[in-house]
Amino acid sequence: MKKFVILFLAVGLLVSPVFFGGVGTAHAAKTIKIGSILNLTGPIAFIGPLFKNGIVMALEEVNYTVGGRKIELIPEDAAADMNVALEKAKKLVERDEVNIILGPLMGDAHMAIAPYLANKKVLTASFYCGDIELTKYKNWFIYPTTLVGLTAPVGYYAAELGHKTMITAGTDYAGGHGFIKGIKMAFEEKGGKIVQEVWWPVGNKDFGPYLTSLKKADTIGYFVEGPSAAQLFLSQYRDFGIKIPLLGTTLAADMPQQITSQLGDWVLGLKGQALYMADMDTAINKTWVKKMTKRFGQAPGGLEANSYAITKTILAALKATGGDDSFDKLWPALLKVKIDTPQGPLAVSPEGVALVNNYIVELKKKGDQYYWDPIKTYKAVEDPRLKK
Amino acid sequence: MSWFVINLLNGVSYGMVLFLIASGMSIVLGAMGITNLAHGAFYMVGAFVGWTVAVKLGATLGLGILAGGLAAGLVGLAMERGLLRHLYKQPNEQVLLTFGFVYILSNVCLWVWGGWPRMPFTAKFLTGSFEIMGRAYPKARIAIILFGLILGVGLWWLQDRTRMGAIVRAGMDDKETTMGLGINLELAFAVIFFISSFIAGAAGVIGAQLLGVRTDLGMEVLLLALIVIIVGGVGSIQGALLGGILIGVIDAFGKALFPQMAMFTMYLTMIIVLIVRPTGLLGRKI
Amino acid sequence: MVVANRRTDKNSIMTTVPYLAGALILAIIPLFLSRYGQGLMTRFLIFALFAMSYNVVFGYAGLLSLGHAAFFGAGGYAVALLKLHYNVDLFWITAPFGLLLATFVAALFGIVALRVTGIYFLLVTFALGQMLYSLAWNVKWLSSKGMQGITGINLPDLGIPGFSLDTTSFYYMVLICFIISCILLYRLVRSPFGLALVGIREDESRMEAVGYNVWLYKYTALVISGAFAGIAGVLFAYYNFFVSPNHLGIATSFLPMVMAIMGGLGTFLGPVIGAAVFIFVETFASIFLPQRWPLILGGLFVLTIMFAREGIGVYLWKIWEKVSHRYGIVEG
Repeated sequence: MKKFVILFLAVGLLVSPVFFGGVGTAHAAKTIKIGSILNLTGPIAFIGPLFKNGIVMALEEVNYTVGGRKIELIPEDAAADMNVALEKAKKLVERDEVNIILGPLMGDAHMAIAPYLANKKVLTASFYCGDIELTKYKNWFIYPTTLVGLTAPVGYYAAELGHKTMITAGTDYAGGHGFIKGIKMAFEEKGGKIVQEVWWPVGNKDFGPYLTSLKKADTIGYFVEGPSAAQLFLSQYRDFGIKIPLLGTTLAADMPQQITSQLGDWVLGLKGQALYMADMDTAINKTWVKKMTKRFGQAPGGLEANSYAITKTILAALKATGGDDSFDKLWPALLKVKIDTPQGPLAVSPEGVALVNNYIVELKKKGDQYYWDPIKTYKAVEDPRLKK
Repeated sequence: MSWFVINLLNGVSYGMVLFLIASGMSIVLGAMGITNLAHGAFYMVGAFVGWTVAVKLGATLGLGILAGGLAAGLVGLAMERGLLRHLYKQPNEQVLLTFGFVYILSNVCLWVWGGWPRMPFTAKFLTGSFEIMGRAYPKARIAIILFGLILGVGLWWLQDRTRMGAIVRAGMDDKETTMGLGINLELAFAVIFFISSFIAGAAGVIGAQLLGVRTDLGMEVLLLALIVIIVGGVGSIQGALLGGILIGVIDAFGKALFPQMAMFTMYLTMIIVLIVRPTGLLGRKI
Repeated sequence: MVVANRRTDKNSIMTTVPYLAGALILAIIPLFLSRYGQGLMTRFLIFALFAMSYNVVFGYAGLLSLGHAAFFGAGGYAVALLKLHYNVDLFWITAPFGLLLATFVAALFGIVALRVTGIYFLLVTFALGQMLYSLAWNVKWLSSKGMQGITGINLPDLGIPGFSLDTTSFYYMVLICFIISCILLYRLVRSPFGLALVGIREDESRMEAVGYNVWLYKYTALVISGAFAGIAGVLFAYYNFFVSPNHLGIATSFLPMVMAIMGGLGTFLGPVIGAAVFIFVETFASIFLPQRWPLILGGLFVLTIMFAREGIGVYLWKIWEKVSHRYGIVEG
């Protein structure tokens, strides 16, 4: 038993050098370290590399330098697990001593890491929305807007189409409730009526029971928690021959090309809310798409556009502070940023929520390429609750 | 009435997928005493290979099912012959080994096929829907039910009516005597394991219509299989069939009637069965 | 086997010395570590304790359970709920509460699960754990606003005026809990009770024939093990700052199982080695190979089974014995 303990200690000593990594580098380092919490493994493993591409592009454009300081990107894998996300946040803050963290993606991971990062004063950017609760920590750059703010245009647009009644259908977790609430608030604000609210659990596979118990309504405002669930939902919606038109969110144009291309002709005409379309007809977008395609070998989608815009915003703030990445300097600078991104013009609200354009798009086909055509633009949409 | 029939069909079709998922694992567990936590990972391998054949290469769904089954079967056979064979009667080691394969196979699939999920797919002639009592009902789901029934009958025949099945049942009861009779139990076990993995892989392609194809299926499918085995009982095709359909139907009606308690109804069923019959509805008494 | 390696009283001083040395090293090592390293060591100690508690039922009593996270999570949820609903931070209240809740859950589980043995025990404990998991998902009282699970837990308040914990002192707090638990667990497995458990694992019917109430022994083992898992859960909630349904379900239940098997089942320190290997390999593999770490971890499980079937701990131990015999380092 004694030897056991000795061995154990020997093993401990062998791995110990890795622990010391953080010591001593604190003052010597002149580089700005930017941490990023991505999902590189797990159920949404395809998303992490896409977000990373956007970040890498933004950093390469400035040659990894801002205000005379070098920038180092430290990507980490959160495996779509909020526990891992917190572990990685701790690692980035305590070992690498970063002041800026990009990501994670998922709302539960936001909530898990928020108190810790607020306490450590680390500027944190959400990749794709965040709950309005996060604004109270005063260290979150919420891009593109809050959960409710993102989907509000769906409700507005439904009312503009003349729909009077709507069924909301969404995934039963905090994020899903936020997105559905946005649709509902906006639709009711315009005089619409919600006739049925359908919720399914996270990871639901069989939508049949829900689809067969829908009431009559003019439209369905829906949110499903990820591309794979969206695929299941859409294909089962088709198979069950549901005729009520869909107005979806987040998973329309933001879906990477690999996913859109699988949907098939029957979804042509599908409408939904989107932040970014690869064929948006602006000069800045066209050059960006060209550069991205050349650099990474595939056309970018909404995810890359998000992480690119976020990184650009942070770089703009860093430029304004002259390369000072301490939170107290960086945060006020961030709130003043006004830039153009491939997605459209971007500003930041006093709460740290981005103000960007939001689009309603329709799926169309040119040759054998599917593309999302913007049919309506909502400028700088804000969470209705923040306006007050 | 039509609401009832439709939801019953929903439940039975989902239940058939659950049956296909669980049957192989249940047999291996009952006949060989092997806790194969990688069973769900075999399902996933089958689903990806089936997708490649049926969608990417554009072959028929039947070929896809065959290819998916074969791929999973071969991976399973390799694992059994290479490693598990040395671990009979050592449940702890089996658990660690097969759990390791969940990690490995998931990551290999991520590597080979990339992380983006694949659209549910089925044969061309199965897209679209029937009219059932005035409502549209997907053809593909009816096909799943038929598939499940055919495979179920086939497996039951293998289990109860063939020499193979008899050897396995004998080996379950008394390994030494069976081997003493000059029966090659090793070979029988290898065949069983191959068949079990084959069904898992084929189920991956058939079930793709309902579950899609993703790199995290390994774990999810494992949980589903465990639930079915708990309800139906270990070691028999009939048990897996009953368990699968029961869970499927309860899940469908649970979702339709109490949408927000969906996950809960399934686990509640499981607990009730456990309290009434700890070894599952059709499990052997112990 | 190490289990059987009992020493006479004459040697007992000799055997405590290395333990003291080990404790001493664990006590001074944080002084040389970065804050991140300290956090990682804290995590390792918590999971080592969790795995040791699991080892009591699995390693010693031979019950393969897949629901052990329920006890761990119950401890954590007790802390989180006290903070969320009653704003209680005081460790001397939350810890006993977490311990009690975990023990209670274990006592309930035992009644249902111990009606069966073998593989069915695994299935039943899995089902019970998942039941708690789905409750935590669905019951609003068990979640804080905006997420599934409870966030907003701070480091515990020890009730000492003018003293609040930081990463380093929290490590020491965990270390003290760990050492006390180790001593208690060591006494337990070396007691007649512990030996009876091993007897039950090896031959249940014989133990029954000799007059042991096998059920009661197993039940007690499960409850005691649940209590220790609860302590680990309490500490983990403080370490992690939040609890989530996952901490009750299968995802967490796999961890102590894997650690215990990997390190060496039924040996006292095996699970600790297993926890060390698991935590450090997972952490560093995912830092250096963010996309391929599951391959490393899964490969490690397979390699363990191929080359060190009795566990890495036992394997290292045997190598050490060979080496030390050749060079005559160790007495007899």
